[in-house]
Amino acid sequence: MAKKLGRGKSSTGSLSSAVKPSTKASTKKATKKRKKIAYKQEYIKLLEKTNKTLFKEVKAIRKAIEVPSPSKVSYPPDFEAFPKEEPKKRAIKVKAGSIQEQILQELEELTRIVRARDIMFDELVNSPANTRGGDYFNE
Amino acid sequence: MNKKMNWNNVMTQINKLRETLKDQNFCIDLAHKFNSNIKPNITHRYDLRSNVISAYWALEFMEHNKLNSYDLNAQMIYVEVEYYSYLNLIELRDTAYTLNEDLYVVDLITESTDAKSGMEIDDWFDNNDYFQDSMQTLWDTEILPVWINNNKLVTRKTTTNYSHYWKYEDYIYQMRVYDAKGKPKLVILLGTYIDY
Repeated sequence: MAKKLGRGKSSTGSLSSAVKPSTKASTKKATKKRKKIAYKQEYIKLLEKTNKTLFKEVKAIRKAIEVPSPSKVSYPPDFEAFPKEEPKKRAIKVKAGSIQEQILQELEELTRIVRARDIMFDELVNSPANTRGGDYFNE
Repeated sequence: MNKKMNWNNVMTQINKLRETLKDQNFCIDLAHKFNSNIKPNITHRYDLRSNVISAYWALEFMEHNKLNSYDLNAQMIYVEVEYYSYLNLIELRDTAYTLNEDLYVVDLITESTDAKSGMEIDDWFDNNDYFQDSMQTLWDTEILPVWINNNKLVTRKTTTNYSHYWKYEDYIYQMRVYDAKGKPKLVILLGTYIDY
């Protein structure tokens, strides 16, 4: 048990000398820690700077390889990107009867003219060749 | 015309018209050709209608061409106007007889035939005494004195009786028409030397 006290004594007898090293250590540790933090902060700053530089470079590269966007085209309001095929123009349907009627009329007219010519020619052929009749030589 | 005719009937109608027009054009062309040869040569016959005679014979030639399947082309019909003798008419008759062709005579001098339709040449020679007598008289009284004066006689003078020459001298003005095959088909006696 004494040994235990004795040990106790000795630890209590040199109290001031016992506090000093621990303070130094903590200070040293704190300094070291500060230095370490400062270094890391510097490192962060450096990284940030590097990052900025890289960002700028990336931006420049992107700009360089950027394809210019087509100029904006204004379309008329009725513009259709895929217009429907225009319906084929078909001939105007005329009633067949009317054309036939016209042709028949033309035919009738032509037939009439031709017939009139025939009649005139026949009349001429059937006319007397001598306007007075009688005998020229003995007249 | 039937109003309900179909297109086949229309085509048939058009083809008929085409045929009729072809016939008409042939007749008109040929009649014009005849008339342009007859009219100026019968001015001494004011009573004759050359257009009627021309139209009649144009129609006859159309029938002749159709009957023989000749082309209806007026240019194929040859027309000549020339002085010939009565003897030449006899020779022409013989030629037609040999060829077995119908040949018609239209006498516009004495009208020994119908002035339009004429007469078949064989029949005419059988019945043309009046024409012969008239020609001989004309020759003796009007033509011969002029020809003797003008020294126009070409017949070999074997006799002094020139009256006999009436058959042999070319004083009968004639229009002769030959068909598409060159055969004589029509002789129109237009006048005599004294008429021109």
